[in-house]
Amino acid sequence: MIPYDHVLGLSVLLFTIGVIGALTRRNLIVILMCLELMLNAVNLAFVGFNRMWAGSVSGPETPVALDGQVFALMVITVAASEVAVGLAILISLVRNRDSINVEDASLLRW
Amino acid sequence: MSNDLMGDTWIPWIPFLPFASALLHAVLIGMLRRSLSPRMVSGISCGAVAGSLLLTCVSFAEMISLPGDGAIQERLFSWIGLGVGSAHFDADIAFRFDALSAVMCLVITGVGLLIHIYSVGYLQQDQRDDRGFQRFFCYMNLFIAAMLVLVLADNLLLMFLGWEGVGLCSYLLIGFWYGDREKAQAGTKAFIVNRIGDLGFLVGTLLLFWSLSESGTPTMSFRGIEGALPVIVASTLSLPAWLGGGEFALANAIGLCFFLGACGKSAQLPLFVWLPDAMAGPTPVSALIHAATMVTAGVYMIARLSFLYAVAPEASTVIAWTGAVSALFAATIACVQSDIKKVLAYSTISQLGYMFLAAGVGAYTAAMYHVVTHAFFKALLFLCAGVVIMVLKHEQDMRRMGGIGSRLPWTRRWMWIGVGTIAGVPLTAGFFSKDQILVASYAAHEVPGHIHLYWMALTTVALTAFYSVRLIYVSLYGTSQVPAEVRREIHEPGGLVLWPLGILAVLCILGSLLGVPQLWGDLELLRVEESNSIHHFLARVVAVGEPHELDASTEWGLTGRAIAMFALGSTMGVILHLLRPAWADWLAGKLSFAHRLVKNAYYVDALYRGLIVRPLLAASDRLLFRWIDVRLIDGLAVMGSANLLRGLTDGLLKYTQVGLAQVYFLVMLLGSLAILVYLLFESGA
Amino acid sequence: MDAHGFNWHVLMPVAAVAVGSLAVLVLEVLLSRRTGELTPPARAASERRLALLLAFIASFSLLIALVASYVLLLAGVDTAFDPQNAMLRIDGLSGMAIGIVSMGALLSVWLSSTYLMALHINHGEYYALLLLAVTGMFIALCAENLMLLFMGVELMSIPAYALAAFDRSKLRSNEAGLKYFLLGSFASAIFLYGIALLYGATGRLDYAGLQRTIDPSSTLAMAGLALLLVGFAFKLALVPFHQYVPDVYEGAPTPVTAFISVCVKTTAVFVLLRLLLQALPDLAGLLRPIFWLLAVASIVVGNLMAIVQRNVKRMLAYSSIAHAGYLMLALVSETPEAYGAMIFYLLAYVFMNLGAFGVVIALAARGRDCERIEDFAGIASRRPGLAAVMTLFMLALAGMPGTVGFWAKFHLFESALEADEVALVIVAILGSVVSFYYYLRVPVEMYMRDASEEEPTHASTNELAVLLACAGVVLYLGFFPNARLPGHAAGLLDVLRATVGM
Repeated sequence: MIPYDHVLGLSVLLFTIGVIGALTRRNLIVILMCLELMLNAVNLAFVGFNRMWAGSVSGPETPVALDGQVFALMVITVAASEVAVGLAILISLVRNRDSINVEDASLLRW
Repeated sequence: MSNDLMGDTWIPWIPFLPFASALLHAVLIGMLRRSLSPRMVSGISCGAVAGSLLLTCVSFAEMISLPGDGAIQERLFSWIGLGVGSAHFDADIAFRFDALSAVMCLVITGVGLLIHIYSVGYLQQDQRDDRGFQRFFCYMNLFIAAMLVLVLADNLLLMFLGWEGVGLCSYLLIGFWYGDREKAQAGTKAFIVNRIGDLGFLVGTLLLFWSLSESGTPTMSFRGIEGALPVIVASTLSLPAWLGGGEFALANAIGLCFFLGACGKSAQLPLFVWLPDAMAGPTPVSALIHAATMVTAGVYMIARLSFLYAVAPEASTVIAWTGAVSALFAATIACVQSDIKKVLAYSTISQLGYMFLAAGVGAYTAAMYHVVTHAFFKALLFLCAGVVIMVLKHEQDMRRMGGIGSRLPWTRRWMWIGVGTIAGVPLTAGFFSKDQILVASYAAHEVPGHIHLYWMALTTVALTAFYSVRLIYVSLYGTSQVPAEVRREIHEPGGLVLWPLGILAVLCILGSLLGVPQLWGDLELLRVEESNSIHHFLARVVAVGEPHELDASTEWGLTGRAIAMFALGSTMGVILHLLRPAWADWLAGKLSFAHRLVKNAYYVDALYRGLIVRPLLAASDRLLFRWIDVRLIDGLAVMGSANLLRGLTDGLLKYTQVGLAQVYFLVMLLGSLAILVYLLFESGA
Repeated sequence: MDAHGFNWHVLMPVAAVAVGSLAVLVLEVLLSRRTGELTPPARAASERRLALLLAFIASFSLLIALVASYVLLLAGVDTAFDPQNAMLRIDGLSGMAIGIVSMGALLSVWLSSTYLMALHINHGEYYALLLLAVTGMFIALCAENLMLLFMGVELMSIPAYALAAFDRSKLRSNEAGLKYFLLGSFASAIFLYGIALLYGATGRLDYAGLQRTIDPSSTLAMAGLALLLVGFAFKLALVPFHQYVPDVYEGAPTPVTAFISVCVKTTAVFVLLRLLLQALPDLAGLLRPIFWLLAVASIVVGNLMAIVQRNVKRMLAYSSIAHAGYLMLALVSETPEAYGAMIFYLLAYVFMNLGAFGVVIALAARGRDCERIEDFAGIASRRPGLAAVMTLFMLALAGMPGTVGFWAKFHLFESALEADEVALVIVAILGSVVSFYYYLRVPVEMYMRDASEEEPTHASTNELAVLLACAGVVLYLGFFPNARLPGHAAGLLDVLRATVGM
């Protein structure tokens, strides 16, 4: 049995990797993937926490059975639609300017 | 209170009719860009004012039939509701039609209607385009509506709404021909000077509100304030040490603040400078706004708050002195002006001074009576002057008039009646109303220096007679300075212009019946059923002090003096302007310094320009010019030291917004970490 | 009524916009097919007709939502779906919120159609996306469960990203959409992680359960709460989570900017209010300093940055940041009066801000935007009516007495003063004073500068109707802030206060 701390630790690690990637990479596709990584870290946490609460009887209150699992499914769905819209925006940008470098999108400032 | 008639009355319609007409015009020209024919416009506008007059008369009859001192009260809805501490404060949109507002409403709608009709004829002569015609009547109707709101308001806030509304209309109408730079500037001047007065009004309102909410009865309605009078009387203001310390009765402070407002609106010293310039507006506007109605709003306000002034002796003294000095001061200026409308403007200031004198010595009803008679004779004089200006193709300088009386037979007659009334020919309305003020100031022992006030007012009688006689002689008689070809073409305008003059002239004479003094009423000869009826009528609402006991012989003596002064002034006028015009020039030459001084209105305007306006302009020129591209925009900025902020932002803060999404990520991340760290530490987790 | 005692009729507003968006989508596909074989002018006319039809459907469904929410409000409905496992609740608060949002969305739709046609982007998807976003807002507004809240917020945000990039041939619009998307997804991920951590700490997702189980001494719970707040601060555009706002507002098509600025902000405020009232009432003392700092930072930065802007849309973006800061005053004061004042402020903001953007839209001539402050020079002589209403909206946003903006600020500041937040009120008042400077620049430009030589354009009827309606409300509420609601006995302010008096 893996301790829940480890699950949480892995999730935090994934999230941090996602954040760092989003902050440092210049390629928009990679940034998109990093954002997905952050969402997957959330999914891991949800699933892990759901297991934790379902397995415990000493919690402050009986949790609802599959909340975390369902939430993870929801997040997967939302992430998919988010990526769809994101890629669409990306494509229209690439059509107008032949670049997927995030730093090129700095027309609007000050 | 129990005698009041509440609800379901015609009162709201009185201001609403002209307002609706103004709104209609505004929508038509402002948004649909469609102008009606002049006939339609004048029909709608005059009809609306006539409707208001009719409803005023109906309500008047209704009010008189109420027992005791009943009034008609109409509360439309709650305007502002606030919790103030534990108490609740409500300001309603509510109108109250009592004796005082009834008199004012009758004057506003009655004189207003006559001037509206006159304007139709006046503007048709003027050949303005239809849209200008409609715009003019839109403003005029709006003015009538705002003025009616001012006098009908049941509370100070609503009154202030009307107060600002009439100011706005005045501003719009002065600058009516705003292609003309000078006229636009006159409008701006009126606007600025009136803001100083309004500051007084606002500070007074705030002081009142503050003292009343301290005592737990926040209210703005006039009767509420009257009910809370003991609280106001009991409170004092302690002056800060740098003002010498000491206690100051609150009633006086409030009274003085409101009087500052009245000074601005009613063009009293030292805030009178805008009124002569306001003569740049069309003549009917001068007659309606700057003679008959708006400028008397200050007097009306003091009469409305007379209960407050009755317990504020120091404030009243200031009012009386300001009034008397303004009366004398403006009358001297009126004697030497050469622009016909400026003469009338200074005369208005002088007559308003009489009203404030009366209010200051506690004769509020006499002040209101003079408001009424002044509305009649000054409107008449302005409208007559308008006819003269019109036939001479916008010539306003009296030195280029003269000798045209025979071409204008009716105007000449009506003007004589107006001149007689303002000069104080015995038994005219102006004579009685002025006489009441003179008697009141003579008898007011409680006002310091009341004898001086009386003598100033008496001197003003002679000056008034002098300048009014001068007005008519120089403009209509004497050697004509009008070019012959213009003179040949002079035709008296048609009925639309003339018969309002006739009605006003009749009112000038019949107006005397409203306020026949007790002394005269007791005479066998006159058999007046109720002497001084306007006094008794107004005394239902307005504070009336102890009647001053003067025996009949003293009072006859005072009247005799007034008549003598009138005779002196008018004789001087006749001699200097008709019989021996050369003497006038000789006199002016001998007293050239004094003449110049008076002619330039004692250089008050120049004083203001030199002391206030020019240094301000110079400072802004020197300091700001290099910073800015348009003075106005950045003039605002520097005042609020916004330029400093702007520089800071421009130089530093702006560069936080670099336009790079990843920098925004970073800032957000740092912000999140800050909140995270704070919450973890603060919650002790 | 179903087995849980839930009256399904109360979901009418949500159903109306959801069905409306699907209808728009389907009709667009079905009807646009046929235009393929037409000549170009006939095709343009047919496309125009179609776009108008779709705009009509959209506004009709929003109107139904508006009326339904008002009926809910009048009836005083308070019903929750499945109290055991709370998901959504329809009560006075959500009724009021749905009403305000649908009003804002309705006005935005009316502002859109002419503008979109002028830019040749009058695709039907626009209305479908807008209605989908509104559906998401409604769901979020009714949610009393973090899962549903997240779904609602995402359903609101994802169409909004697409809308910001809607003018897809323009680089600025692309960039606005991209930044909105990137920053929004980043914020969503943080928000979501906050939910996950809260779930880990308490095991609950519903507000009532959270309220019972949340423990200030648990690291996990506090970390989750912090991240949750970040998500809200992002949607509310509070400093330092505001940086996407100016870029997105400037680049997005103006009707979209108007929609985002009004509806998204309103939704975020109401959702946060419900969360605070139902789930976190015990943590008020802990959260107050955070809100205090966010408020001060937003007021200061928003107003200062607005001063230097030369683009009106960008200036309005910074001003909206400052307005979000003012709204935070209520969350700091935490009294029912303050919350009531906050909702009044939002209501006022809908009309003032939509009016201001509406004028920018109405001035956009034939696809050429009128955004820079120089473009406003001399408008007063060419378009006196528009100049007058723009002046009104600017004065209202600045808080001039006689407009609704004054009362909105007055009540908010007054309630904050009663809660003894003197320092905060002083900052807010100073901020409003500064704001007069940049708001008044627009009227100064319109009235004092000479007109550039251009032929006048005419605004379409629907834009004028929106502007007139906004101006009317701004003035009417400016003089009668406690106006009685039709069919309701109490005045507006009293209703608002009662709404949050839970």
